[in-house]
Amino acid sequence: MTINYTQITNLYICLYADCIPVRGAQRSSICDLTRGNIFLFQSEYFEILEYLITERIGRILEKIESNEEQQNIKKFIELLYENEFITFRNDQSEFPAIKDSWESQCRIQNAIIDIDHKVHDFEKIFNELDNLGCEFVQLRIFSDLIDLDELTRIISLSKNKSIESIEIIIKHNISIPDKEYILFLENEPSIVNLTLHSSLTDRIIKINYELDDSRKLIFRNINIVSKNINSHMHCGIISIKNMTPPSTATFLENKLRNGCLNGKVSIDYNGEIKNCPSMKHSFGNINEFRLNEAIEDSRFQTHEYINKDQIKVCKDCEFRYVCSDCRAFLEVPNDIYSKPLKCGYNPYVAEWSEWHLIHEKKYAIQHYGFMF
Amino acid sequence: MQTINQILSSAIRKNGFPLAFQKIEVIRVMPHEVEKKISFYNSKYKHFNHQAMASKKPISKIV
Repeated sequence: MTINYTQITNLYICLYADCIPVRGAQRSSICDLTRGNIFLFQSEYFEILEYLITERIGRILEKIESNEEQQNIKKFIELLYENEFITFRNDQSEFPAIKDSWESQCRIQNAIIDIDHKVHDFEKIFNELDNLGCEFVQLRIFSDLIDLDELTRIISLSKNKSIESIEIIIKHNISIPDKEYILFLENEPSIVNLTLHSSLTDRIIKINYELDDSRKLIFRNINIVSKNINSHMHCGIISIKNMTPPSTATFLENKLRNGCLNGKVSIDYNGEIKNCPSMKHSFGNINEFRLNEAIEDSRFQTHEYINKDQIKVCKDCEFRYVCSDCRAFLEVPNDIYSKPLKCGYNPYVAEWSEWHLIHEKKYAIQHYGFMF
Repeated sequence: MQTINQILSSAIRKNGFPLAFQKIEVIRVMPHEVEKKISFYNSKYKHFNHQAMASKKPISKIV
């Protein structure tokens, strides 16, 4: 897209308020909060971007003596314009910045409930989550303990509560034909994600609800994975797949609070109430304590406020406001501000590696008892 | 000619169904087809009058 610079020479470059630049060590990003996109560019250009918005375009170009440099700057401006991150305006105050604040109408937004060798009192749990306004629940079932009928009973207890949707991760029972899982999902509209683990192969069952004239309306998947998810130890993997597409709410939450633990409560397979099932500290057992009492503990809330700008290495990462973090498994186990152990990204060279092969992580891998 | 918004608001008024957050696919059809889809949707989800919304951020990173 060619820009006619003679027409805009007296104008300012304005970044749209919902396109927020995030400076990283090697690369920087622009998070497009409306479109949910992340645009990456070399960090040298971050300073140029900051400079570009300080003066009228004509003045900026005048100050660049070298023709080659001027062409490079123009190319960068055109790239930003093509991606609709910037516009040209006479008055920059037309684009006030989005205020850095985050709030939620509910104290708890999501809950993880792990099940292994015993079934919790779900009536109590769902009632207490309802009192906290919890919207999203993830059930992670590591064993064969629960069949689909029992799962249906558990889900029925969540009806007419604040719980909007449920994600289920359950062991694949290969004696159950696919059509039974499909029927189960079709009959439970509150389930938005069904993953069957410990299967023989990796595959996806696509379920489409169709009208008489075969126009498809709803698409849902059952993800079948061969990975043997037999404990909470499998959690905490940081990858591009687990990044949160930026929206104003998620971006500001990740910026100001902890991307994983803010607004979360968990119940581990023993019924212990925690920030996350993989963390050590329990705030009481669900059979003896109420969730609202547990989450009032100041130590519980401390973790909710650890943001990425406080975490070593992450604070220099261009993905820090779209990354959901992990405070359970740390590169330096006794340092709560340490980088997530299961993150293989190095923002100083902008490269991803297999996290368990990184030499600096050897001690922590042994500390947590991971076997490779 | 009716705009998409007019078609939608008319269909929603007739059916009393909140369509605002459904897939964009739904609004790219003719009015009678919108009504058929809403009718189907209501019959499919007797307990839910809308499609369950998933969490915008990953609840855990275990899979």
